[in-house]
Amino acid sequence: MIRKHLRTWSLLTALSLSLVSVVTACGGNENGNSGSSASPNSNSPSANASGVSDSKENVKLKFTYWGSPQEKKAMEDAIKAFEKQNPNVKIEGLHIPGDDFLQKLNAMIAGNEAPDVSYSASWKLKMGEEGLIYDFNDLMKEDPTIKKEDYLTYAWWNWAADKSAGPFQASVTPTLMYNVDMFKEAGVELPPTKAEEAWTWDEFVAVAKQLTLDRNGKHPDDPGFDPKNIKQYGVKYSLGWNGYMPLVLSNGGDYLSADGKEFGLSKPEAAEAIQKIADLINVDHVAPSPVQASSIPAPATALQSKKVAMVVDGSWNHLDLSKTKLNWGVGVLPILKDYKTFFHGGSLVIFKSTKHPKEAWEFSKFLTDPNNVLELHQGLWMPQMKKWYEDPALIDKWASEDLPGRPAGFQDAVMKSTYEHEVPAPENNVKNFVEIDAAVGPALDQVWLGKKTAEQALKEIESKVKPLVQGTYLK
Amino acid sequence: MSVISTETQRNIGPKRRKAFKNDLNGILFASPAIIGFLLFTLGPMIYSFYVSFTDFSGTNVPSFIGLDNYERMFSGKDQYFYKSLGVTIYFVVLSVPTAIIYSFLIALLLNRDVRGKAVFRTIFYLPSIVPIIAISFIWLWLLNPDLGLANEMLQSLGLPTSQWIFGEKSVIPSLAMMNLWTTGGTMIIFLAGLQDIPRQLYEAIEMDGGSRLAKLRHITVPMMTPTIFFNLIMGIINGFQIFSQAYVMTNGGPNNASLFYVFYLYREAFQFSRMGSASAIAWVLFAIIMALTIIIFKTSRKWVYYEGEGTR
Repeated sequence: MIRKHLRTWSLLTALSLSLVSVVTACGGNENGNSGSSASPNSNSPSANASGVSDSKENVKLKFTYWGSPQEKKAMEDAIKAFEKQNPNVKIEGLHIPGDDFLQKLNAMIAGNEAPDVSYSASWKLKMGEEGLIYDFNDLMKEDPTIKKEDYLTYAWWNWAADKSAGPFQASVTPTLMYNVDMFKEAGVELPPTKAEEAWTWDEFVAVAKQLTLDRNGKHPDDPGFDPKNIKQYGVKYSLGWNGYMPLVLSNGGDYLSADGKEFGLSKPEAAEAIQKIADLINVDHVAPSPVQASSIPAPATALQSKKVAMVVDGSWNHLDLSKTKLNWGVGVLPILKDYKTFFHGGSLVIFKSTKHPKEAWEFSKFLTDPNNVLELHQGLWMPQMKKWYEDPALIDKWASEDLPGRPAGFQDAVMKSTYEHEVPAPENNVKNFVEIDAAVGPALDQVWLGKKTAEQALKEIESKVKPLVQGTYLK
Repeated sequence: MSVISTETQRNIGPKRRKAFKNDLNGILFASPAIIGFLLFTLGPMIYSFYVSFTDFSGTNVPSFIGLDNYERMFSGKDQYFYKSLGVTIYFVVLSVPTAIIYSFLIALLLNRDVRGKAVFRTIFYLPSIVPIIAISFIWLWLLNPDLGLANEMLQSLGLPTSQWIFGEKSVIPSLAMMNLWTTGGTMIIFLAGLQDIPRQLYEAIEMDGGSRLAKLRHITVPMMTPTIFFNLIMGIINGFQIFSQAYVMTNGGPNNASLFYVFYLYREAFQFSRMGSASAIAWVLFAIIMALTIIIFKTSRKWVYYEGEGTR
């Protein structure tokens, strides 16, 4: 008798346990093992509780972002500062590390738990087309304190000529960073800091050669130089678009043709520039190939360990460099003909599903103001409002050369040179950039390895890229 | 007549009820797995099949576009479909046979009664439980052409070095080689199969004067064909779905030489925001693997020998 009941009871327990676990899994955050995203308190309960959304009512915002531990801390400080200024607003900051930010965001949107404000990457353009996010132009219309002209000319993510997902919130630019001691030891003059005095490409290569040594201490032009045993490289050039595009632009080339109808990289001016960078590796022997580069650490460490004397890469590295004891400097980029460069960066988007657009707008403005995230603007990022480049008092706050993240010459070499020679970056200007880049990358793989010339490799993918070329957003 | 039938009825009644109760118990016990399958596997599969005929981006309202996604793939408009299929097939053709042969041989060794065989078995099995991401990072360093152990060893033996995962031609063979290290699970299954072979067969062939090679050829391998069959199918199914190595180590390169099918799928979904297309890609993979599995099943009758079946 007892056994009979035991069996029934154990079966009932097993069934109810399984049903409970299934229901919990379904009802909660369907993304399961997201360690950092707390069980989402969606906005709906609080909005319903507060009734009509009044500015004095309690408002809850959800903000999703990514970034290093440093960035996370800076964001948390910014959130606290905003909450202090606006005591009726509570912000739930969700830090989502890793590469699956979009996956988690998609799941949140699908589950009707989209955040109010979020970091965003190029997928925001599709969301704009689908009507998921606010057009920044609409938001600006209602706010008298902000005008489009206040911002850098090309620092916008637009999904149509007149529809914008917003301005950059975290600007960076390609820069030339170097180890001062290595230059002094080799008796080489330091890189110029004024755009008007920028090195020509040949001058740049000559300097790099003086700073390249093989295991026997020989330079590339010395007899008996062994390119297979290089101990120290003159320069590590970023092989992504943030590395080759400034040089392409300086040679009169561009990602697309002037009318935006044709692929520009396969044209002579662009191909020539890309070839020159590849030659750094295979002809001049002053730069590491992708194979060797894979074992060279990030710029800050590479300069510190004296593996390379110069690095051409993004300015976000200034933050890491500022934390080392290295004697480092910045210079203007080398050019072929004219000095041209760009800002690029991420932006904040505000989802239309937000119940509190006004507060979300205020928060996004708050985060874009360097005053509120000052520490990150002193190394990792650069501002996107023009006044921060023109007003000496403001310049001093983020670009004073007393700051560890801003070495001597920074204002000329990075701030002014980019501000005064700004063109759009391909990332936010070229339609379908992500897909075109996905085709360009593999083609350039062969160029960096010396298997094909830039012209050959890029011409080969021309036909594949053609259907993706559909013009630009900004210029 | 009636007496018998009533008695019989009274006897059948409880038996049938018991049988029904047994069935009910069975279903109840299996219900978590069944519900889980319906909700988390079958349901999403049906949804993804529907999505593959739409232009779903992950966030928009999907609208029906018919066979467009499939047409893009098969007509070559999508430049990566045939390339990734070729790359993946190349990998499967290279890695599955080598993995089976390798793990079979190791299992033969592990089957011997040597001292410390438990230690050996653990050592060979351990890598298969290390997460594939961690394995990818380890091998990134081992195979580094300048600093890695692999080229150091080759150099010290006076052999030519390789670019490993940085060379277009050498990336897939490198990954197939790396795959061998993780075949612990297959080894264990082979080991179990080996231990099932009846001893008297070996004794019989010994009496007939059979060498070790003859034992292998005439007893071990034929008796192991069911296990080989299982491992072959599992190897093919898993081989087609290889992803992490491309994601962590090569990013599909160099020049798309390691653009595995599932990596291409992932990119469509999460970098190009084309869920509809990605779903179509997934279903094509399903069809391919299903077709291969059916083919192997059909031909298995010719070469798989199940004990107790009599002669083929």
